[in-house]
Amino acid sequence: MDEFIIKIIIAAIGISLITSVLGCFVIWKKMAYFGDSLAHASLLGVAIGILFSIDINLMILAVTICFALILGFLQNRNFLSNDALLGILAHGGISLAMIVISFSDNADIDLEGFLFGSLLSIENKDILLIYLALIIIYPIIFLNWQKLILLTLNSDIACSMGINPAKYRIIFTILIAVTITITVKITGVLLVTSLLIIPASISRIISKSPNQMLLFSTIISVFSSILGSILSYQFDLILGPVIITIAIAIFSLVVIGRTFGLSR
Amino acid sequence: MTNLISLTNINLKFANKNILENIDIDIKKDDFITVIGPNGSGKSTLIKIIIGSLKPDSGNIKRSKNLKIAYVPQKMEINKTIPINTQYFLKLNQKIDQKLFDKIINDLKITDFLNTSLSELSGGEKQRILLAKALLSQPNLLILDEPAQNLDISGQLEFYNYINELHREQKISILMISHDLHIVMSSSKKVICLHHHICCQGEPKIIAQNPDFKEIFGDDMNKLISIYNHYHDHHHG
Repeated sequence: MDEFIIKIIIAAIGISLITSVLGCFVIWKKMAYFGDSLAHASLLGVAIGILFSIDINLMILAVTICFALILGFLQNRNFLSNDALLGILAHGGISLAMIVISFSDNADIDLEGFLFGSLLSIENKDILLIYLALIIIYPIIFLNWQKLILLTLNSDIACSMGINPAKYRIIFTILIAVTITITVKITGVLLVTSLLIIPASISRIISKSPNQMLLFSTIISVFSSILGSILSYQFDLILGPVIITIAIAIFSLVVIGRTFGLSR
Repeated sequence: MTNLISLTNINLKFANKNILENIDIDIKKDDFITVIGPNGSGKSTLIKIIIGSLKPDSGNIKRSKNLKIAYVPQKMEINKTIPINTQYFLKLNQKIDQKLFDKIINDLKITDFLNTSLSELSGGEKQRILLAKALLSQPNLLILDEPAQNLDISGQLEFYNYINELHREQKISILMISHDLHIVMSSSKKVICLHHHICCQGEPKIIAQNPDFKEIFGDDMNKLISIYNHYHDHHHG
């Protein structure tokens, strides 16, 4: 194995460790479409970054947080349902991104790479960023694990125990924005959410407690990432879709197994 | 006696409609207060303000330093995406005193479904678990929002008896919303009749004779109370 594949595997493992944990909360809070919309809108960050030669990671983070804020503002207005608002923001982001990109003189922009992920674009800097995010996200999640679960189950009971829902909502949104930022290069904006929801969904089927769900989600996610990285390198396939196809294959097996009563 | 919590001049509007107007409530140690009022009169909103999950537009809330609130909601929608059983839920975000835990699950007859998934529990079982969860935090103010509405008659009686016992023996202050007026009148020390503003408040007997109370609840309810009052007088007289 050469240095390049090792780099990819290290990046993929780091991302899996983050997405599998946050993914449990995305499933519990029923926020899959929220994550998807923010991810799609993040293409605007890519476009602005390219046009003005600003660091793309920084722009993705800025755009996703901006969109989350706009969404929060509109949700409080109460005049449209959440799914409509999310659709408007996601498609608004993609449309604006395409327009912004068309202003760029740079002819060799790898648009497919940003939509579906690209192996070649992974640099040491990205890996550093992934593990930096991991160091920040893990303590936040695990020090507040029980509070976050209680909030998800019933925010009024949590409130009566002195937990502030607004504070944790903001923290969670920022964590999702950070996750999207570091994941886009691997999976592309179109497939970011699948790393959040597929391992956690598989894990939900076979788990009996939140802790178990977290553990299985992490194992499944890391396994898919390592296998996906190796396969995509060996057969020169695009990385994001390979990882996700492996995860979906596991999902299918578990669903079939469960349906025919093979496991509980 | 110092107040556990004092609400002064609380106001809240939703979409330009007054939900709560000029609410003043003091809850003291050893109080047993029941809030009654028609549907949509702002009862649950008031409780959400007290537990801190809603902020009033204006007004003042003063909580005493030793205030420890526990809250039992009307019901809990179970989110099936979270795999969680009774025991895990009860111990969530709580330091557990094993002796107290054993006593509470025994008293509330929860022992048999400690390992049952929350999504498989009946309405009555869930209600007992919510009460158990509240008590495990060892509160001095227990707040209940129509806690017995999903229970059958005998279940309701048992539930309210237990609340009474908690109040009497463990000196836990109670603030409760209830539609079960016959029970309200027999156990509460104080009734607050809410219809966006506080229409009247006081001892159950006195409330029942208040013209505002008659206006809101109509004659039928008043007769029901009168029947109770008669019983009450008789019992003690």
